[in-house]
Amino acid sequence: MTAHLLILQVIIPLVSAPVCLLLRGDRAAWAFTLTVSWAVLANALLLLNTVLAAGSLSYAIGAWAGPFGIEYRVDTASAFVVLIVASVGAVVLPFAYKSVRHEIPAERIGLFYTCFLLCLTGLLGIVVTGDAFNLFVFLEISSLSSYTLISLGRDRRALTAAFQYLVMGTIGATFILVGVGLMYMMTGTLNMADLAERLSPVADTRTVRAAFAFLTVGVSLKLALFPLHLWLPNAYTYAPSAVSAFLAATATKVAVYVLLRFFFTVFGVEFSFEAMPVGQILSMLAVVAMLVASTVALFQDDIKRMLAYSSVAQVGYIILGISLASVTGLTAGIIHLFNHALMKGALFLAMGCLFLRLGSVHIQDLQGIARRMPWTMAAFLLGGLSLIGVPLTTGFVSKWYLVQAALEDNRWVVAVLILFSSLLAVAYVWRVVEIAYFRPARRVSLRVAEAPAVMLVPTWVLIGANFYFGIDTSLTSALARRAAETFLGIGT
Amino acid sequence: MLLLLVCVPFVGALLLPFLASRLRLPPAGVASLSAFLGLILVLTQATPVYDGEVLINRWDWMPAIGLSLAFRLDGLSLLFAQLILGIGILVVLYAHYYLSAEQAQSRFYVFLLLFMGAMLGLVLSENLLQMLLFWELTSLTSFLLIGFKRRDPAARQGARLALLLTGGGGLALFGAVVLMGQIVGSYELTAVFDSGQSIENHDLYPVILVLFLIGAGTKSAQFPFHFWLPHAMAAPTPVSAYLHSATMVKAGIFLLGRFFPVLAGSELWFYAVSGMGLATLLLGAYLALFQHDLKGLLAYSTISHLGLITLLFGLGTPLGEIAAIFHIINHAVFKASLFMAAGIIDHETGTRDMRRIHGLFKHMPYTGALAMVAAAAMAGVPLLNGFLSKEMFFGETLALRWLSEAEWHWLFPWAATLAGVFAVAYSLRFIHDVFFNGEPRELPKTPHEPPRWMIVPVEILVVLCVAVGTLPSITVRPLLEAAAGAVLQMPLPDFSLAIWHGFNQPFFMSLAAMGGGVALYAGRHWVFAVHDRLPVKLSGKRLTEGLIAYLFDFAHRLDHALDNRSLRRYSFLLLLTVLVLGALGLWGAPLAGSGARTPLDSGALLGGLLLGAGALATAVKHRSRLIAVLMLGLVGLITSLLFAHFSAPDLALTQVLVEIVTVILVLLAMYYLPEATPHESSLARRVRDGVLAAAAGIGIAVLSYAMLTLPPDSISSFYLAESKPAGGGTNVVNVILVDFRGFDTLGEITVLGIAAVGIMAMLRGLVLAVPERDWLGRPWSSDRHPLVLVTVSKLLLPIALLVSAFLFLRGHNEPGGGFIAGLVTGVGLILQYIAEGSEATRPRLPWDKLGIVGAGVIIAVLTGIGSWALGYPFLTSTYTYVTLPLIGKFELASALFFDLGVYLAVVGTVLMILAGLGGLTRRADSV
Repeated sequence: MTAHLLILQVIIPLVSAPVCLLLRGDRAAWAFTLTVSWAVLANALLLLNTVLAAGSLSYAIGAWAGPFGIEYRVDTASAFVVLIVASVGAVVLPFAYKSVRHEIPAERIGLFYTCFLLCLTGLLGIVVTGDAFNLFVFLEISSLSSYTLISLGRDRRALTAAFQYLVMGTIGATFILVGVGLMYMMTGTLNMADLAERLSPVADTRTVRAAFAFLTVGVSLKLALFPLHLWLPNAYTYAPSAVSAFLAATATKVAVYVLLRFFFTVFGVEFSFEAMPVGQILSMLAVVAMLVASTVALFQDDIKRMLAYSSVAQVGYIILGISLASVTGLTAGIIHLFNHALMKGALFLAMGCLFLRLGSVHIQDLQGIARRMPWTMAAFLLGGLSLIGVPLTTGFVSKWYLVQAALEDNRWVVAVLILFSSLLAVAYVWRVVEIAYFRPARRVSLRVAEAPAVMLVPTWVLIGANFYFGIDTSLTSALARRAAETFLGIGT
Repeated sequence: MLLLLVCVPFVGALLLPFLASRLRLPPAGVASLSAFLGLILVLTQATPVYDGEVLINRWDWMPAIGLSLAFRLDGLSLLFAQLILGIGILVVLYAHYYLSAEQAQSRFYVFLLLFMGAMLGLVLSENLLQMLLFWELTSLTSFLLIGFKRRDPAARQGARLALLLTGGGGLALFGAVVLMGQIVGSYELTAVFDSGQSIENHDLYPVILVLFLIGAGTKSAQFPFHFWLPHAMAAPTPVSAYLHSATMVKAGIFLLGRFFPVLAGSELWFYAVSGMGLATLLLGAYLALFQHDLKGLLAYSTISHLGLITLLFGLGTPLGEIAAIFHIINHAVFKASLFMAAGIIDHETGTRDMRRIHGLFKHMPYTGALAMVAAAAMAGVPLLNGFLSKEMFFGETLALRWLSEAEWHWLFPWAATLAGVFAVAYSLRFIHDVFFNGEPRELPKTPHEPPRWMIVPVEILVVLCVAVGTLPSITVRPLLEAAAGAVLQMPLPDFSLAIWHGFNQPFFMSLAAMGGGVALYAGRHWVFAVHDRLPVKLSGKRLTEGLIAYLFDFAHRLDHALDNRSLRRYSFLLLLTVLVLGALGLWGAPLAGSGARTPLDSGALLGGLLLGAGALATAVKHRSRLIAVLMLGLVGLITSLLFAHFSAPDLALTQVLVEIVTVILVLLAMYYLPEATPHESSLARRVRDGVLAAAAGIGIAVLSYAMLTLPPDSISSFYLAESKPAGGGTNVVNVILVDFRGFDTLGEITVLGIAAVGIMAMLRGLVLAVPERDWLGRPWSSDRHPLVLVTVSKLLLPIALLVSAFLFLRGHNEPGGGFIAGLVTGVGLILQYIAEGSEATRPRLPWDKLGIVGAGVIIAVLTGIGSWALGYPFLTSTYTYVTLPLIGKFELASALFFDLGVYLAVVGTVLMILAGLGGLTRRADSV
């Protein structure tokens, strides 16, 4: 089976989704999905192992060699992102059982898990494919299933949020499709490696530039780059808790990966950063995102919404690293893909715990809750420290690389702004901590109990990971660096 | 060994709750034991350090980012470690008596020990990043200590203010450290010291220095960041005695000493550091006089003394550094004892207001005597430690005349004397107002001497004041030399610690300060009156809070400006972004390629015009819903005709069918729409949107032109050539769909499936109110299932099924295929629903529609997996020819099974969506 590892990564969840649809009972659907997600993780680990040994893997679907058929191709970067998606999925699912039962009506739970598997399929497919159009197809799979997942939130506003996301997401997807179409017209091929070769002779045409612009905007919308982030806060706020955690940790990361693929593999670093002004535009937007989104986060009373805005700011960090187009910058961006998945996953899971017990994550309802739910709030506090970038956490590692990258590029103003936005992060995290820890509890929350262990354990697994990878950075930084070098075409 | 030392308080903090609750040990005992253990550990290591050696213990931790665990014990760290631990023991002892039983939980001592550990880690760090880590930890733990009285809003606010400023300063410090590390290439202190002048000569030196001073200045309450310290007085007094004498506020001073060898010596350093110190010294001394709160007076006096030390560091002279370090020790000792004395007074009288506390000497003579000695040390009275360092300070300000070219060197002696005057005055106020000056007024408690052991820490500290003041060479000189050596990193100049230097200038300055101070205090009523009449005083706290309030307000407005939850706004922004980016990207590129132009024929022209008219009409007539839907249908129809015109029959067929399904869907949805259409937006907005839409359209047109005029160069020739021999079909489109790029199709039917699942999920449990009338206000027709329609639809179904079977089977070679066949079947079935209603049709189509979709996807995937059994990659196809009666010889490709999956998924989805939406009516009808 090892020969088929690559395709199995997508096929396992894909074939499981309709099977899940046929299962009766929410417990069966959950248990099945859980098993599948662990199988997906196992596959991802095997895949990473193989890639680390072999450099890269390729798989010709239907035995049609690229560029004629669809080629699947995995290198260090994609294997790393696959690992992020698969591990977040595997951690969120044990958590999901109680949370989903609490938030979603029984008759929709089977559908929920089906969509979850499909979303997993889509995200994984985007990462492992080596074909531009196939990427679009999987982007659609992941997008449509996430619209559905979000619409299942308990609040009626979830429907509006999902609808907004659907409209915006579809516009973004259309842009991507137009971009892919233009590239196809110019080169007659859809295979990314082949595209890379055939694009350079025609790089100076209006069409290729337009394709680049369309792709950049479309993907930027998907990854919620400021000011195209407007769908994200509502979507993350009203989605079911498990979905917020899963999507926050994976969806934007995969979109960033797509951006990386297009910039560095397809168009090449010379075209993307020298012929096109994208480096300057992106770094400017990224810095604005860092500052504006953090400032807006400061003001949010719904904590999930606050975290959503913080995600927009964090995407700014990632894009900033990428826009520097240096090894350190890319390493910073890629390592933050992983680290941000860990911290945001943990924080949104903690939100799920609160929501289960309180039915709300409004800041006023959290008064003095730390004494009632010490484990949950401790998880929030530690996750918040990681978000701020306190040493010993993954957040520090990311920020460290990013500041280094900015300084290497002699942009010390940017470095200072990074630190300033951390200060804003301190403020918005602290605001919650202070209310939860230092305010007397409300009478209604006096009888609130700690969240069940099945939800706390996944949360703390992610918190543990935040500290583990904050202390032992050898694995993540080596992977991120190697991925960055591959993108830039340096080394092996 | 050093790691162990740093760990001692942390381990103590960890074990304390357990020891206190299980073994019933007094928490203060455990805490002082940990501190004592630490002190002993320091002292065992101290001997070589006194001889000028530097102990470094290092463990590699994260070499990738330059972080190792490394500790350093040199003279400066030794001095601070002794202060932290020594005064720590006394504070713990004092707190044991000071805190009420309710307050004296183990929580307090845990926080205290954590803070102690953080301070120790800070002063013992060799690695700069590790130092930062401990630096932030001191901010955090001090927040816990200052805000210890949780119920007290003043404590909470004070704690928050302190955290905000010192934490923020920590970030600035972070910036400075990173820059230094970049320049030096290492984050080890040893390497930084070895780098010599490289930091000072670097272009970024001013940036580093400013960031560094923000970090050190916030922590050490230097002007203009000084204002958090008085608010931190809301802390329990033992905390103030600890944090604001020997530890927290001295951390910034420690930093000045730590980085003195690499940062000091420049002109910028002199102006910035001594200027900051001077301003702080004067401001603190001046404001201290006007405080009525006992602790407030001490707080501002602390600010002033910290300013004095900073000023000394700023001078940059070797003797100045020695004086600075000397004053660090002296200030820690007398200020800790004064805070403790203030705490005793507060404890015994119930207030700290100096307008009410008078004549305490009669009630508590012993405490009074001790406090007066300590206050005299603060004022700089001879024979006490404060006098010695102050004398050195005066001497240094005078020496400036020869050392610096600064124009305003004359300012320093005068300013120093002036600050001395105020220091004497406020010390005098502390002594005279509290212990003499009449009788106490309305005290909540009758004052008397405190418990015996509570006064012991004060006794020890006051004895130290006197011992250092009288016998400096024996008591303090070795430590001072070791610490100064570590700061200066060079041999020390000769200096004398004698009590009496003769009638020199510093002595006269001291004398002037004494005299001036006494005079100022004597005329205090007049001075107070002048001070009260000063225009509005700036409050740093109010300023900070105002700034934060403004920030919140700004965030609020920003949030609303960006996100008014309007999709129109979102899409406007999105289109604008792509237009701007597109325009930027396209600027200057050639407009058209060199490919051959296809001549324009009348059919295409007509089609194009109709297409444009239809699109325009849809937008214009959107209020008349039926017309708008018809126009949409027209657009779709023309599109499919154009596909057919440009020889794409498969596309045309698909497009027509999709158009039918879409129109049915829209009509179904219209049933539930509200009767009135929403308000038309203003003309200006419509024009704005119209212009944007037109610009976008023109952009796309230009692009298409540019693209279509390029010479064709594609891999499609491969598909044309290989379709029959390798894929087994002559319909290239279908072979691409099910074979060459079959995986895309698999993905797309999954997308269809998700749409079905999503709609199902949203519709489950949904009941919509049935409108009484249609959107024009007409009642529904009473004949819900017209006979003609019923009859025709019954006839049509078999035909539709037959046609779809035909389309399906021939799909591989001629226009058709699973997708198109699925749509035909779907439309045929839907007609049944429309004609006879869901109630009548449902029993005849009993299958689970989601199941059909699922089965379709599974069949398609299984076809793909099947090829593994034969040793081929996923979705590899094969084909053969079979002959069936009636149909004749036809080709059977494995791709056909895949196409069957596609067919089922399409049928299922169409039924799901349309019947699901139509089914809402049924449910609503029966309500």
